[in-house]
Amino acid sequence: MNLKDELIKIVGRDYVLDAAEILEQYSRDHSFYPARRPNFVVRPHNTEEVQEIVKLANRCQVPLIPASSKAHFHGCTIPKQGGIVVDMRRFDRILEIDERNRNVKIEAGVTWGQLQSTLAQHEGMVVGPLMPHPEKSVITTFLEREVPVIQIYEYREPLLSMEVVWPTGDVFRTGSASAKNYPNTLVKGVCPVGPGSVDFYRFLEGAQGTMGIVIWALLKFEYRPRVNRTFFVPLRSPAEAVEPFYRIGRRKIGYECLLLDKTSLISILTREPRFDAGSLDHVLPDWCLILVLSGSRARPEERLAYEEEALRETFKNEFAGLQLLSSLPGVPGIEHKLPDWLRDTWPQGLPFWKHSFKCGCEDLPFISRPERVPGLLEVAAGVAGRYGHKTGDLGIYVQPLENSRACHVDLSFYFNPDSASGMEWTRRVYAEVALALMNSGALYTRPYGVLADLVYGRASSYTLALKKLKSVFDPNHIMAPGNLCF
Amino acid sequence: MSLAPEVYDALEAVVGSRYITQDPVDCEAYSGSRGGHGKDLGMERVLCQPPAAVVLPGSTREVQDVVRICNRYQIPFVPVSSYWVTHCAPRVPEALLIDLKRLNSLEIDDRHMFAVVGPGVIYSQLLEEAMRRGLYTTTPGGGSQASVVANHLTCGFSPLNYRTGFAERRILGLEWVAPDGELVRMGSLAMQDDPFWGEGIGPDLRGVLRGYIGWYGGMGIVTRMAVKLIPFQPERLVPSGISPETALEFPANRIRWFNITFPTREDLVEAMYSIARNEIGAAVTKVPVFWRYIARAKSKEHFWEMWEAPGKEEEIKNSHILRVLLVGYTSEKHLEYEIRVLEDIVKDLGGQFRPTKQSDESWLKNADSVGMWWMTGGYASIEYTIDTLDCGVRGGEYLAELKTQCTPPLMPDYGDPGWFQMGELGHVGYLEFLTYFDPEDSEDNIHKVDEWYYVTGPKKDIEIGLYNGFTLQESPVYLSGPAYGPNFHLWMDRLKGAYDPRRISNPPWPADVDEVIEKVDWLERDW
Amino acid sequence: MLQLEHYKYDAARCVGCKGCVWVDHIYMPGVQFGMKCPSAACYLFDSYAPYGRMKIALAVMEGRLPYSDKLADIVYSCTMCGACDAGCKRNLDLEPLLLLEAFRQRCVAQGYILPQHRAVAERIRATHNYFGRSHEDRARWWPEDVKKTGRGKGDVLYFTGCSSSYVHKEISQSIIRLLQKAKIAVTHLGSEEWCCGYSLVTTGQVEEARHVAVHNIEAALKSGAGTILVGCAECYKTWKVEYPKLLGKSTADMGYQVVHASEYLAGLVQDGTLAPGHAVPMKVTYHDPCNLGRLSEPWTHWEGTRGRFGTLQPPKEYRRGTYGVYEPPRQILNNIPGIELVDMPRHRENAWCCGFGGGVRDAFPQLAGWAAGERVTEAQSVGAEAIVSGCPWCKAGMQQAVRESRSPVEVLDVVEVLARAVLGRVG
Ligand SMILES: Cc1cc2nc3c(=O)[nH]c(=O)nc-3n(C[C@H](O)[C@H](O)[C@H](O)COP(=O)(O)OP(=O)(O)OC[C@H]3O[C@@H](n4cnc5c(N)ncnc54)[C@H](O)[C@@H]3O)c2cc1C
Ligand code: SF4
Ligand code: SF4
Repeated sequence: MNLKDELIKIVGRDYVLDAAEILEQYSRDHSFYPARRPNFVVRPHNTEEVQEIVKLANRCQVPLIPASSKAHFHGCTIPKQGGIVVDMRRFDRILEIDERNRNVKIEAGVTWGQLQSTLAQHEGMVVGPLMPHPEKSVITTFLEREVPVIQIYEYREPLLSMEVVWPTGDVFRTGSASAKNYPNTLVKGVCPVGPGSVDFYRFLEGAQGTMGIVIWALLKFEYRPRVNRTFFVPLRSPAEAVEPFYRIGRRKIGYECLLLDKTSLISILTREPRFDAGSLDHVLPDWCLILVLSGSRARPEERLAYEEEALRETFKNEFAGLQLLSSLPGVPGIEHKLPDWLRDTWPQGLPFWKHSFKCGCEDLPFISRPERVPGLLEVAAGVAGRYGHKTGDLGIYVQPLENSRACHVDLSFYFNPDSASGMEWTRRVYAEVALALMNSGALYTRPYGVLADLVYGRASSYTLALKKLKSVFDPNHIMAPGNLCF
Repeated sequence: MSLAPEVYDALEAVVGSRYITQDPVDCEAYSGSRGGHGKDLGMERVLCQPPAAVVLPGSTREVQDVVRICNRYQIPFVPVSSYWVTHCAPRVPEALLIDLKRLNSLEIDDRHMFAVVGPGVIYSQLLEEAMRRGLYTTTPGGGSQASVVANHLTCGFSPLNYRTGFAERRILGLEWVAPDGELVRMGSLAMQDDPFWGEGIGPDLRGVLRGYIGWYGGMGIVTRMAVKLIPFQPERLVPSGISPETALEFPANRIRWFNITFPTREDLVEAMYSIARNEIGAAVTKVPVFWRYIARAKSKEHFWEMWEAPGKEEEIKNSHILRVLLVGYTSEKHLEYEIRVLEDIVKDLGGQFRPTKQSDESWLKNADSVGMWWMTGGYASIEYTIDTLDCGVRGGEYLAELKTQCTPPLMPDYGDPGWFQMGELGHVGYLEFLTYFDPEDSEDNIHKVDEWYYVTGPKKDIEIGLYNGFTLQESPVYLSGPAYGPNFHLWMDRLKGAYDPRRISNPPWPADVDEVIEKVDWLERDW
Repeated sequence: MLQLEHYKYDAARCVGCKGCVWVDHIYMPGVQFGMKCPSAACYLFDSYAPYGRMKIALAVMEGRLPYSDKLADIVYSCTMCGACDAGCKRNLDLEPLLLLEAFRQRCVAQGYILPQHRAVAERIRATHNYFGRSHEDRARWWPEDVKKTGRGKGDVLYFTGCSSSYVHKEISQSIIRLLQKAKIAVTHLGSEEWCCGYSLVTTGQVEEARHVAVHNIEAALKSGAGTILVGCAECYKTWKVEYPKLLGKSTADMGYQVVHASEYLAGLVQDGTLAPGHAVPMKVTYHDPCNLGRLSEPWTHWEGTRGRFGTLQPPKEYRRGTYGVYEPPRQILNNIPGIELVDMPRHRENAWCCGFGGGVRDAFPQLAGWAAGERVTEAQSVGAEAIVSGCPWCKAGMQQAVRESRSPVEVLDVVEVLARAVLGRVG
């Protein structure tokens, strides 16, 4: 049996790619992980094709690596053991926008650029991570459990029902879309849980393509506020942000609430040519807490008013030493732009903000209790310092989660992708920092690349249980082998 | 049935002689037959049995050792925490019941808004501690007597989910004694000695522990769980009154209930959507009409006198009452703002505010599901669908129509389409369709109710496409399994095989109903 | 005699909600002090909880469980405190307590009686008192300096009860001195007063109980007193509820009215007859005796049938514990200068039983002692210097627990505290 012929039978000649330059493209991503080439890239366009591909892979024992975004960041789609990349880019339809129930049904290849601009016409937005890459798939963003920048909704997770092709080749719909005859049913598919005693969606999240191929999903969207007010709190250190995080979260004030170091803030602000990195470096504080208050649909100004009053009262009574500014000195007018920036994707055509510094960037995302973030950042700085890193060489973004019960931290390691030695060196610093942080209590729930070995080595019983799960859904071990602990 | 002496001795060595029994009198107290949720049907009378023995372990370690002994000797076991829902009652005569009530530690991390609880802790206990700190969580409709751990593992629905969302998403770090006796720590506990975060490393194994509902004892034992608490408001709710009229008085500046009547059901539903779209409210719910009569009645007889009074049917058909809870989470002005928005909505849709008590009898710390049995003695919800609100309302209407075919023996409720409410700020809606019957009714009639509950309802679900997540497994799983997923039951079965290779965690669940249907002569399997 | 079968409906309809063991959720204080059934809290197995006993009773009625020592152990290791009953009636109006009473009566009828309970009955038969002390000594508590004002036809008959006659004389003496101070004419049955029979009726020994009931009622009615004043919660409930129940009557038809000293004295304080002039500087908590609180509502005899959906024809009066004697003792305490009254987490209808009722003090002293100890701990948790109650048996139980745990807490009766405040002395 010739694999290529079999693939062509399934998706057609145009969609089975094995030209060297194409395979080369798929062998690397924006991460610092070493390149490895797939044997083929296929681009199916319906569920049956995906199903046939999976069945074929099972018959031939060939690895499959699902990919939905056009831009990848963590090395998950780099084939670790060869095989076929299943590129879902042709699944690019926004299938349904349900304004009444505030959800949207999209296919796996739909990107942020595509979705947010469409939803904006409906006064809606899917609450996404901080300025996502416009080419990134919306569905995989959430499958990767990237962290939404707006945390006011207690229910947070936006994914609802999904259609998936399991690694066995079985097609399955999770949540309420699992009903027979869907979509010709009373249910619309907005319940994410089940069916039965299993939350199938949980297995697909954080799976880095190892648990199946998602075809489409429903996602919640929220009202996109028209009336906003931005506040800035300049800080000398991240420690100063900790108490405000707790208080603001607990009182449920505002939409966005995040902390950026100067490096990250500069890479964001310089998307406007009128701001240049050098002068910003002089005027910006080392750290900046950014807060956006927004009005709802009804009586928006009144909502703003009571929230602002609560915010001012909190700062006056509890943080009198901190300045609550309604504009950012040296960055005129930014207070009006930021709300939209924070809710939109990074503009198409501009270099991605994480890449503006040195063209390459590898994120080290972790979760911690807010009060422990400053200490962990010190640990990171200490280790990185030993490698000659100076303040500002790492980008830092701290996102309080769920009314500040925890924080997500993104440490951005910048590197020059054209320098092999530079990349290698960054890998070494990254690995050392990651280990030191883990030993100090940083939690990696999305273990990419080297992080996987660190965490699975430590969490032995979890790892064992995970492998049992994997054996149920992927008995032949064909999906993205080499990722996670599989 | 009793345990073999070597098994008993081994168990006794683990828990100590004070905490083990196999006396039939003790065991009888754990039988799930009759009484209790849904246990008044003919099927349950065949299905459930008392356990062969009961143990009361006092630590995770003891639970693990007990489960390992069960594995060694192939003893089926059933964990219970509060044993309120006796759904899990043993189905096989040789089962060991593992009663977890001794694991009742409760610690709260105020700053990070979570509680670490043992299975023996119930909701009112948690909420007392939480509300003292200006925090809260969903008290399930099933009542505050539900175990916090068991409820997070099995259900977790109430009007408060309008803000607090699905219970499975409120689970943080936990300790799980898998059916084979392995101790698996999940969430941040997998990595460190701190349960503050719930997501797995990589794929999230919380998905194995529950889906729409839990495994009812069929997937091992959670011995400790951290659960999220949500910011509430700072004022104290003061308890008042003497039983049966006890309530928590609201601080008027922070919390208010509203009862609003609408001219039509369509207006009521529009109001619910509008409230959600405007992101106000802490709960938005339309409750079954008879609850209001239960609340007013002085006795069961008084209830029936009111319910069957002439003209009631018409009155009830035209009664469209919405209950909305507003909370000033951020400040007093927050509440004032929400009241203004609510008033706008009500005015637009021709609604009228009606007087209502400004206290909590149900939902915040207490929930009175028990009163459900008061009217007739027998109760079973035939439907729990979560999808859009529109789906819930239409589903309720279909079921109300269907129900006329089975009334009597079901209690007449004049076409009420059930209990529906908004969840997750309107992204989802919930429908529960409650049915009542007289458990002392003739055998024939009880068998009719069996059919209604186990066959008619589930078939209708499949036909019209409802998502009766709860009853998917209450119904024969070989009927619902192929229809949903498809074949979710096969995936469950494979997971069971992976984690419970000896199939001893509450067998033969989830296929128990299927087994009984084969045995009884009043239900026929035609699927 | 109560028939267990009359409560088959209740046993079958128990839904296992555990409203009978948890403190009313509205008042739920947390994990500690969260339960109100001493039996369930002490033994932990569900068989020792009211809902477990319901299931067991059902199995017995259906012939699925034979009598056994274990069965008797479970049926009797309960203080008959009725916390379960009030709890169940918050939502469901079942009769867990009556079922248990009927169960005990049935056990006795079948010969399953605990030797300790039989011994009590024998003592009472022989000496007319619980302790087996000499009947002649029964009225010796009466202080010599107090004149007997009663003429046998007084309005108020003070029924002392065994404990205040023989042991806790400070209670009876305080009562009589306060009444004297208020110039109330009181009569007393003297040697015609027999043990009220509480220990008999709650252990299912109804024949013996009926015997003493008939005697006491006859004597009381003969005295001509319309009001029977008691200082003991067990006597209170027995006169008010058990006697009519034993005779198939309603409280209202008994020809007498039962009043607890706290109710009576609270009235006298309220109308100014008694003036608590002496300060009693103390932080105290009030322990609601079960038989004075949630179990003290009048009994209404009911006969009828159950119809569709379990409705009763005719409807019956439920005793839900709503109208127990909760406030009068508190009113008294609140009127005493210097007293700071705080409630324990479990109070009124949710009060934790002292552990000494229902025959438990005789047959299960360990349970009794444990329960009383829990109550003392609870009192300490609110910073009380003294636990004040309205029943000598509660006092005895908690005093014993205080002694055993070397707790600094004092245990007093409400009438003692009032006597201190009004008379400057006790007894
Ligand atoms: C009338 C009624 C109405 C209800 N309405 C609602 C409602 O509106 N919303 C809602 O959320 N719930 C509702 N419920 C369900 C109720 O809340 C359940 O009681 C609860 O979810 C389960 O908790 P429990 O305390 O009953 O647990 P238990 O009875 O102790 O156990 C429930 C199940 O979980 C298993 N289990 C228990 N402990 C563990 C453990 N530690 N590890 C693993 N498995 C365990 C048991 O085997 C059992 O199968 C209702 C119940 C009733 C009876
Ligand atoms: S309160 Fe009543 S119904 Fe509930 S468990 Fe107890 S006895 Fe049964
Ligand atoms: S009477 Fe008291 S001790 Fe006995 S079962 Fe009821 S609550 Fe428990």
